[in-house]
Amino acid sequence: MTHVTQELTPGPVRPTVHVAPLALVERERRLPRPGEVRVSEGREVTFAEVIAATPRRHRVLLLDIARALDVPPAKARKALRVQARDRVEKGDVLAELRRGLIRQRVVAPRRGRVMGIDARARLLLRVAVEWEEVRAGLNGKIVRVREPWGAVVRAEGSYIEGVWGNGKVAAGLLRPLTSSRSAPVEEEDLGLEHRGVVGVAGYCLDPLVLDRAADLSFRGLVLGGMTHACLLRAQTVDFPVLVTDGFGPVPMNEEAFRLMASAEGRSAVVLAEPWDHELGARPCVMLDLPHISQADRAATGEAMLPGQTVRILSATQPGQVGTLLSSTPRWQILANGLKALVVDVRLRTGQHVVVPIVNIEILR
Amino acid sequence: MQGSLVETDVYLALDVGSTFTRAFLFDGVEGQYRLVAVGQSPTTASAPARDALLGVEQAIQDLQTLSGVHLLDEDGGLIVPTTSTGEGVDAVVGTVSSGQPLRVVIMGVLPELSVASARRIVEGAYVDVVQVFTASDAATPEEQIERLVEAYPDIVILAGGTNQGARHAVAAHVDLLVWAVRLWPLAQRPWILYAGNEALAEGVQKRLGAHYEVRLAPNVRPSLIEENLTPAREAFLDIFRLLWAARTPGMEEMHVLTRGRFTLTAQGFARFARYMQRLYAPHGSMLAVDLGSAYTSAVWGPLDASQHATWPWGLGLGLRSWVAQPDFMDAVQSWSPVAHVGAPGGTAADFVHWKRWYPHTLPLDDAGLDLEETLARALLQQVRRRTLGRDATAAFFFVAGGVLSAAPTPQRALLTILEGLQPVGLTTIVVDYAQMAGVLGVLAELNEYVVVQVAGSAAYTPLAVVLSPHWRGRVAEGEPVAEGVLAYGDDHEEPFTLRAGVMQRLPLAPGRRASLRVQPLRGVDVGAGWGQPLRQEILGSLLGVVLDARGRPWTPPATPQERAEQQRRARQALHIPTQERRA
Repeated sequence: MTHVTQELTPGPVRPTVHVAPLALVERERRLPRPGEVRVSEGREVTFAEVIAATPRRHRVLLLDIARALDVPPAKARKALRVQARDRVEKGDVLAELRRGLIRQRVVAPRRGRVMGIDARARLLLRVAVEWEEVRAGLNGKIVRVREPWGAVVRAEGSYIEGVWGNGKVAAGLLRPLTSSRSAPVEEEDLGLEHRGVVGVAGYCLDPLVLDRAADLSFRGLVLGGMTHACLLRAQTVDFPVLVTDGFGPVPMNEEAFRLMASAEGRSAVVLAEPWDHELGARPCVMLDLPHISQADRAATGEAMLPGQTVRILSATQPGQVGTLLSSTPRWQILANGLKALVVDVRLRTGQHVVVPIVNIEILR
Repeated sequence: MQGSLVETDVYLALDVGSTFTRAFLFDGVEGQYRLVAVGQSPTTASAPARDALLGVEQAIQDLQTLSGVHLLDEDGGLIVPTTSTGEGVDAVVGTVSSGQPLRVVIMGVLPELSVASARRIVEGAYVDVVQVFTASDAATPEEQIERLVEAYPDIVILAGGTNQGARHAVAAHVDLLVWAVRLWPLAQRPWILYAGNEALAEGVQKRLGAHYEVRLAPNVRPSLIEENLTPAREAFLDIFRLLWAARTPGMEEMHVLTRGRFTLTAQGFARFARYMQRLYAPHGSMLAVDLGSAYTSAVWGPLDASQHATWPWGLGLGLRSWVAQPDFMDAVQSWSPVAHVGAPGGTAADFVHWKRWYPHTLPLDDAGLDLEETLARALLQQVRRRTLGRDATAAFFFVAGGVLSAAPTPQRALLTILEGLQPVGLTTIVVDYAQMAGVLGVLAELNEYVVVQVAGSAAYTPLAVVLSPHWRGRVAEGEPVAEGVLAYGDDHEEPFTLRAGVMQRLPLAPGRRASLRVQPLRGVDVGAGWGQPLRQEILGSLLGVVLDARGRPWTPPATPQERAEQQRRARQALHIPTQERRA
């Protein structure tokens, strides 16, 4: 951040959580299993576009052709009129046998695809496939294709990362629901004027708020914190719900609230997919910006340096943000008796605290 | 056993856990192997680093700083073997528990025979058994194909048939696998481990080998009365390690670094726990639990019929399977001594989410620590339910896990164990303070002396010997349930009365011996049967002899305030006076 800090030896790498007015984001979008990638490099995509898919489940029929024709398997195989990979419509002839004047046929009971035929003349017909899809999640451009898993999407705009998402993605116009980042949103705060918006609020203690938001066809809800009961309810609604800071009555961090409150009426994509620790992909909100000349590239982690703004992760002391005073950790006994590798942080209140490095995220 | 060593090798043992990576240095100290130091780093298998080896390097650097032993050369390479000036190590071993569980499908003929054996093959590995197919499966062939394909297994264990037995059922399962290959993408095809009727092995290899990687192992059930698990288990672990290493960045390098002396933490833990059982309860039953962040392992039962299980749940990442289970979340709330978490309105249930999404974090205050211990109790109760059941008990508990080993006081660790596992009768409890049980299990293969000598060192001083009576019917708090005497070797005797609801502690320092005699009232069991007297020689421990007469099953008070007060009183009852500590 300052020229002094850049000359110091970097400290240990800690995860970075981004709340950036201007950011360049490259996000890997990945299937849970290998599948097919449906986009090519350089293509512009919108958040809802399917970029890769893999079968989740198949519906199949196993047709015993020999039994249906009442002939030995070898003879049944000779009677086949289709082969593996053929597509068939309902009623298409799969096998046909002439016995004098009599013509025996086995027809496809449903539309489908022949997936295989074995030595016993049994035919596997796939009649339906349910796909598991990955959407682009952001409005941007495909910059890399990762066959057979997915692709990397590059997007630019204001970028806010969170800690929890209910798995949904949608976009809408931002609308603050509370005047303060530390105020709870109540059911009565949501009126007809909020129909179809992406709501932003301090935190949520009441699951009925989510029901009300669903009634108002919310396109998204972004909260600082949310209780367990709300979390369970959030998993049942069909719009994205994203938590930026923690669980319980946890206020939203100042940077995120200020950024979103000042962007009222702007379009935001809420990608509320669960935080993937392995890839470091967090749920996020991306606000479209018309033109960006210079944006910070968002990385999932960086070395600790004095002067960095950090967020302190604690269930019992949530919502604390401060400045890192040292980046060289040392062992220390905490007030509760635990021994930990700690660094010094000056909170925004001016208080000096020691914090285990594992409880620190760099806020950028 | 040979007690001293002329020349000792120096060993580096690495443990890549889900949240932390540790490096242990073992060396000879005055002729006995000892743990010299432990280095630690957050595990780096996930983002941002996505390379487990980085955490390993950091842990070794930390170890180097702490021990003062030069382990890395100027280029950052590990010095192997040791130099004449005492730098480096002679051998490296490793364990790992960082990574996603592998998906396993089991195919067998009878649930109680081949399927049960196949389940035992995977015991202790980090797996989810996602589907089981038997000969008596009522589903149509189509439904079975769909089920198999949707399971997307990483490994299929195909068992069934004695060596002169069933053929048809095995052939039907081979058919299923041949059909499934038409629907799975090439990169999704699982490994097949065949450990069934050996007469069919060649045919199975021929039919499946064209489509899959197939490994053949001797039949797990060569006859109805025989079970032969070891070769199939080894073959399974080989496949497991290959897949695990391929998916966890840095693991292949770990394999090279350790020259293949590298296994799952749960496997190492089980081996070392059984060794500890030989020391503490050779003729009795044990419950050993390793409460990790992503996985929990347990080994239980008598030595000759010991069982091992690993579940994909724990105190961090492993909470994901619990958050949607109301019973578990209710249990956590009903055990928490914290009135509200953070601001008013915050509950212990919210804390479960914190730990699930921020598994690395440490509690910053007493309330945070109370909540972590509450979670540990709730998980230990699940372990007890799945292992010993409601009524059974064990003479020896061996417990591992960060929340216990890092507890600021032994009293806190003991209360978490007692209230989570709720032993009955007389139990010796040992905690794996250095969290090295897993690596010692692997080191045992290389040099058994290390294990023998470290297990006998101060690192494994028993935490407590606990006497926990239980009784039939209701007994009012404060009412006597048993009388007893702790007779020390020096003619000194300490008489005591066990009173319902009361916890006490009698001093008995580590290394000292004493004789315990207890006469319970009728309807009270102190471990020898209802109303039966108990006489036993016991060894001292860190907390001496703890008399936990709170009854079984013990349930906490109704409100958080009462629970906090109960915790305070229990810790006070276990307090060691300064005078005794000095002695």
